[in-house]
Amino acid sequence: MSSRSASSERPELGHLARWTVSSHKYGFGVDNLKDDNEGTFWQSEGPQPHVVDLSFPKRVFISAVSILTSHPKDDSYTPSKISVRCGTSVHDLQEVRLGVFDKPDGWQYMPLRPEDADGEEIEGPPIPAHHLRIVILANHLNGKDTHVRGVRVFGADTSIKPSTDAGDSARMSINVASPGEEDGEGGEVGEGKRLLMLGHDGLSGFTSRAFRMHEGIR
Amino acid sequence: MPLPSPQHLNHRLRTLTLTSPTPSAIFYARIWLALSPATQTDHEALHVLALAFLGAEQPYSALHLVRDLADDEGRLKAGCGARGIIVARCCEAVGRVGEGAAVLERALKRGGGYNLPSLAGSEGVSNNLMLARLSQKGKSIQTATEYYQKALREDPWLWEAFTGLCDIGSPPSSESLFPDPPAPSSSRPASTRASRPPTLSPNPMPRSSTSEMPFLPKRAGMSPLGPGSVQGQGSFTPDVAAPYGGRMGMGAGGGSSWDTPSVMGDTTFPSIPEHHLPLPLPLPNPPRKPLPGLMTAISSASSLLPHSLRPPYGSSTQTPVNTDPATQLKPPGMKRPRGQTSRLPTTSHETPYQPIRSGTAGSEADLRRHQRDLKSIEPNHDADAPVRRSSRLKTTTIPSKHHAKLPKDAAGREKARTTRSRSATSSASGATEHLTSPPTSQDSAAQLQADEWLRDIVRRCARAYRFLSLYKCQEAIREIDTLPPALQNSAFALTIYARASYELANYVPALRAFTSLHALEPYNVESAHLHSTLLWHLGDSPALSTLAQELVAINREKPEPWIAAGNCFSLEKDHDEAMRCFRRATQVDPGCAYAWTLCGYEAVEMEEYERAVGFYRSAIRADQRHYNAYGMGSVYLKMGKVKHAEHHYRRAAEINPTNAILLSCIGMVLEQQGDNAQALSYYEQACRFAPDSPMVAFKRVRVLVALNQIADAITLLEPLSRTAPDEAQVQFLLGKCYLRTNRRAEAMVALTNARELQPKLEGAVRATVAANGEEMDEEDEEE
Repeated sequence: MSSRSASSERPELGHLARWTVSSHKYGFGVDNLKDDNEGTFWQSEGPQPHVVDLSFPKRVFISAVSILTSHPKDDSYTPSKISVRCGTSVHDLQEVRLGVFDKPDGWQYMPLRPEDADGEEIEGPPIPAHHLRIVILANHLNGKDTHVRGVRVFGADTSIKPSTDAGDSARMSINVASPGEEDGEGGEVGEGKRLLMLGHDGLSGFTSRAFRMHEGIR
Repeated sequence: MPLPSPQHLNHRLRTLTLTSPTPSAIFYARIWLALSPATQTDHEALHVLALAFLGAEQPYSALHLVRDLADDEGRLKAGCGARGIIVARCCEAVGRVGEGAAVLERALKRGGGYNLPSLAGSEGVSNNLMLARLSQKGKSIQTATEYYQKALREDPWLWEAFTGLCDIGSPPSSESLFPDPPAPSSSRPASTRASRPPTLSPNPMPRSSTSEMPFLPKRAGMSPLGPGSVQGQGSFTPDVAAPYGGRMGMGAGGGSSWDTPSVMGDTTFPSIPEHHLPLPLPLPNPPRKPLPGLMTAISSASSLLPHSLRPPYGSSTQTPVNTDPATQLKPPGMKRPRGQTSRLPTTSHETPYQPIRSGTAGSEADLRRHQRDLKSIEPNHDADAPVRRSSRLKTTTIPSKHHAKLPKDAAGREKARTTRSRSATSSASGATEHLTSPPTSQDSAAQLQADEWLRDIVRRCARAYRFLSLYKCQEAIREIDTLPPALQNSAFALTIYARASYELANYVPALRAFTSLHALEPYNVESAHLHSTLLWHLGDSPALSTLAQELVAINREKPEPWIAAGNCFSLEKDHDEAMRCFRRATQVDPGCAYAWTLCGYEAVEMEEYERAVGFYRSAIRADQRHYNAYGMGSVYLKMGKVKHAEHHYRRAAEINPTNAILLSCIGMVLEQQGDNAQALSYYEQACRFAPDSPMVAFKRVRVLVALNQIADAITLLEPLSRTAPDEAQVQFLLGKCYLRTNRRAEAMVALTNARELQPKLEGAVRATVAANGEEMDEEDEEE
C-alpha cells in the first residue's frame, strides 16, 4: 500500500455494496474477492472484458480502488489493463481511471481521479458514485481468463473534513431565502396538489424494502 | 374340478380382496366377479371391483363397471345406493362433479341399506360430505352449503364440513361450534355404560360412510349409555379421524345425540388414507404411529375386529348389521395412557369374546389381558396387524370386538391425531355383545375432564379458523394466543397465525411464522403459495428460488409449487416464464383461484390488459371470495377507468376489510378522483390496521400535503424519515414541504438525501428547487 493511504483514514466500503461478476468458474466465485485471503481468487470464465460490479444502495464517495494480483502465481491470468468506471447506475458509467500493469505482485493501489500536477499523480477529491465497475480489459500474454485475488474500495478520507454540503448547495442555484413566511394554511388545495406533483409524485420508485413490500396486493 | 360351495368361495374371495393391497385386490376381485356375476340382489363383487379400481386410480374402469354394466344407467337397482356412491366417487375422481352430485342425490333419496365394503386404502366419506364437495367443485355454492350443514348436523365434530363451510363463506355461528354434549350424568353407576365409550360404535360401519346414516337410528338406541360419560367419551373415542385423517374429526356422528356419536363417527371415517392428503390446515403431528400402513392392513379385514368399545350393555345397539369390516384407526399413541384411563371393562362382564380393549394395560388387566391374548390383539399396533390377520383368518365370525380406547386424556395434546382412532366394530355377523365392564370412577372422571378440555381446544381452533375465513385476522390471532403453549407451535396454529398476519399485510411476522412452519413440515405444500408471494413482496430472491425448487421437487401435480416457481420468475422480471408457470398451475388445478389471479398480475406486467381482466374474472369464477382477484382494479386504473377501479377495490375490501394495502388502494383511487377527505379517512383506517407500515403512513401524509396541511404533514414526516431512513421518496416529500414552508437549509439536506438514495430523482429535485425558487420570486414580487 502506498504511504498515502497509511497517513489517512480511508474507510473500506466493500461491505456496503452488492458485488457482481460477469462470469466465474465454479468454486472461484465472487466471495473470493471479498475475503481478504491472498490464497483464494476469482477466476472468470467468459468472454473478455471481464467485469466486477459494485452496486451501492446509497451514494458513497470513493477515493481509491485497490486490486490484489500476483504475476508469479497467476502468470497469464494476471490482468494487465484495468479500467475503473463510476456512475449512478449501470447505464450511466464514466471511466475515471485506467491502470496498466506490468507483472504486478501485491495490492495495486489506484486512486481515482488522479490529477497530474507537476507530472505527479495526486488524488483529486473523492468521487460520489452509486455504482462502481472494474473492467479487466487485457491480461498478460493475452490470456483469456483472469485471476483476481482481492478488491478493496476506499471511501473519502475521514481525516479531512468533507465540504460536500457546501459543494452541493453551490451546485444548486438557490435563491436567497426571503424572510420566513408561514405556509398558507388557507391556501388553495390546488397548491398542495401541485406540490405533491412537483418533480415526482412519490407513488413509485421506492428504494426501501419496507415501502416496496407494501406497494400493492398480489 | 367341481366348483366348491359358492358361498364359502365367495366368502374367501371377499376376504382376500378386502384385505389385500390394491393390485392384488383387483386380481381377486376380478376372479370373484367372474365367478359370481352380478345379479339383481347380489352384486357385491361388482362393488368391490369398482372400489378396487378406484383405489388403483382407474376411475374410468370403475365407472364403467358400475354404470355401464348396470341395466340402465339411470335406474339404480333398488336398494343399491352403494352403487350410487361408487359412481359419485368415480365422478369426483374424473371431475364430472355435476353428474356425480346428481347420481348421489338420487341414490340417497332412494334410501336403503348401503353396504359398501371397505377396501384397503380407499376412502370413505360421509354422503353429505361428498355431495357437498361435489357441489362446491361444481360451483353450486348453495347446495354445497346445505350439504355441509347437513353433514355437520349429523356429525358435529366433522372438521372438514366445518372448514368447508368456512371456505365457502358461510361459517356457522360461533356458538354452534363443536357443542358440548348434553349434560352428562356423571353418576358412576349409570356410567358404567357410559364408560363404554364411544368406540362402541357398534357399527360395523362399512367403510363407506353410507352406512352411517341408516345406522344412526340404531345407534341412537345405544344411548342407554349414560349421556354423560358416554358422550364425553364418545365424542372422543370414535375419534373418527376426519375424513382425510387430518382434521380433527371427532367422530361424533349421530344426530343430535352425543351418545352414539362415537359410533357413528367412526365408521364414517374409513381408514386414513395412506397418502398424505393435503390438508388445508395441517394439524400438528403427534406421534403418528405406524398407523397408515397398519391401518390399511388391518382395516379391511372383513372379520377384522374393530376397535370399538362396545357399550357395556350395548349389545342391542351394537350390532350393526354389517359384517363388513370397519376401519379402525387406532389412536396413535393413545395406548399408553390407557392404563390410567382405563375404561377397561372389568372382568366381570367379560365373556369369552370380550371386546378387547386395546391398550388396556390397566390393572384390571389380567383377565383382560388374558382375553387379549386370546384375541391376540395387542395394544401395540405393530403386533396387531399380524395378529389380527391371523385371527381373522381363523374365523370369520369372531364376535369378539376389539376395543380401542382412545385415551383422550392422553392427549391433552395434539388434538386431532389422537382422535384418529376409529372404532369400527365389525362384528361379524351376529356378534353382538360383549362389553366392557364399567370403568372405574376415576377413569370416567378423568376421561370426562380430558374430553372437556379437548373440546375446548377444538372449539378455539374452530373459532380461529372461522375468524380467519371471515378475514377477522386480529381476532384469529388472539384466539390462537389463547391456546396452550405446546399447541401454539403446532402446525395448525402456525398456519393460522401466518395467514392472519399475511392478510393483515404484516409481512415480517408472517414470514417468521411461515419459515417455522416450513421447518416443521417441510413437505407440506398447502400454504406454500402464500409463503412464496410473501417472499416476492419482500424481494427475497434466493429464498424464493430455494422454496420454489423444493416445492416443485416434492409434488408437481399441485398448483402451489408452480405458483411458487412463477413468483420466482416474476421477481426476476422474467414475465414470460412466470406466466407459463402460472398457467401450468391453472392447468393442474383449474379450481385454484390464486393461480388465475397471478396470471392476471403477470399479464398486467406484460401490459396485456384485456387478457389480464379475463384472468381475474376466471379467478373470481373459481372462488368468489378470493379478494386478491379484485386487484383488477389496478388494471382499470391503468386504463383510466377510475370508477371501475374503485368498485373493484371496494368489493375486495368488503371481503377482507383488514388489509391495509387494499384500504390504501381505495384511498389512492379516491385521491385521484379528487376526494381527498375520504381518501384521508381510508388511509387513517389503513394505519390502524398496519400501524408499523411506513408506506401507509407515507400515503396518509401525501393526502395531508394535497389538502395543503403542510405543517401537519411535516410533523408526521419527520419521524417517518427516521424510521425509514433509506427511503428516497420520504426525503423528497420532506424536502418539498420544507421548501414550501421556507425552511431552506433543512430542505436542502432532505433533498440531498433523496438524491443520494435515488439518483433518478436528480431531475425531479432540480425541478423542485427551481420551481420553488421561482415561486419565491413571485411572492417576493407580490410583496
